Amino acid sequence: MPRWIQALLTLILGLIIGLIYGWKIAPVEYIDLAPNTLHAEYRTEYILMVAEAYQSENDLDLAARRLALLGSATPAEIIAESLKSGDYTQNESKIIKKLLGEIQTWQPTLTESKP
Amino acid sequence: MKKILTSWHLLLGFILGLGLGLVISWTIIPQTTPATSPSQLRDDFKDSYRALIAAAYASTGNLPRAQSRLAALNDPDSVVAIKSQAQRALAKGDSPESLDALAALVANLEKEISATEITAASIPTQTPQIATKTGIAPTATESASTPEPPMPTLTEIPFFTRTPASITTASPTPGAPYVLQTQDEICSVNLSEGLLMVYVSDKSNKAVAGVEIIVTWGGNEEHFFTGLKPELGNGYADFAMEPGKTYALRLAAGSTAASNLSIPSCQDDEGNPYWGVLRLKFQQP
Repeated sequence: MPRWIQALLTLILGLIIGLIYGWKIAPVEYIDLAPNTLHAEYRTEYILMVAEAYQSENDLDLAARRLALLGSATPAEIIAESLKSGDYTQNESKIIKKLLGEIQTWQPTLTESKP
Repeated sequence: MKKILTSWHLLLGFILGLGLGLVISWTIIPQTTPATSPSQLRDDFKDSYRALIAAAYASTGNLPRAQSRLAALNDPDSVVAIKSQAQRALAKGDSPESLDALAALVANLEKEISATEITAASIPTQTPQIATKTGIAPTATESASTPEPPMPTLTEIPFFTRTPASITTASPTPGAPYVLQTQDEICSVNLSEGLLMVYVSDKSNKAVAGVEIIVTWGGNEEHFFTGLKPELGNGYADFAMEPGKTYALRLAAGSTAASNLSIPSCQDDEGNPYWGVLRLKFQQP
């Protein structure tokens, strides 16, 4: 067998081992992430927590600020998307829908900046 | 040896392939995270997440749910993590509602932990075996007559609260003001620079948690409490001083005032200056 074919075969073998090691054995670990990268399961849980907290706090600004951490979409869009894809119980859906209903008409409170 | 020299192309090919595989798998096409969990969040986002858990708990009162949510953060000790966060929040001047929610959550977590440990200690390990042999369910008498020593009741570690009177740990004797016993300047590179460390103990020299400490400087005032860092002692509290400022400190329950407190200046072995630590010890007479 020609030497270049032998070299190519070992290169392919090394490549396969390198890929297995980098993807399976020691994959890249992500740290210091923002909440917008949360897995869907935790994302739905996060939205549920915002809705639960809103029940007692009644602070739409605070709820919107918390939801804003989940991405650039509007708070209402974030909740609506979660309601579609999330696996919520009936009671949880009710709480979230209440927040959705109120946040759809919410206008952010603007504070004047002082010179 | 000759064989190795003639097989260099195989080795080179393998090393090149391996390197290429690692570059592809780690930088060009890294594996997308299958599940980004709260434990992978940046520290400040973890704080926000914990605060949200506490707020949700304040609304629902569902402690098991709060515990499972906290578990997703993978903190070595959730209670300690929340306490530390509360202290940071207090220093930042976060809303009282947020602090109260954190306080309520940590207090109930501690109660739950205490109850679990006490329950575990009160059930003798031998009882189920006896019940199996005799077919008789263990009775309360059997449980009570176990030779196992009872688990000591855990001392409730106080947490930030606006009503220090409710704290159940060693409390100061009413009417006995604390006295500043010692005031030391400590030069150690192992301690945080500019730290004001306060230790409070009662007349039997037992650390007292939940003592409100008032520190004032240049028209500003801040309150903090002993016991928020139980790993350093229930009677311990600290405050970060800033260079060039002079502080006065007293205990809200009544004490001699310590004034003209400032960061001591220190030098390391090579003559480089750094800020030292001030340690105050208060005790009831």
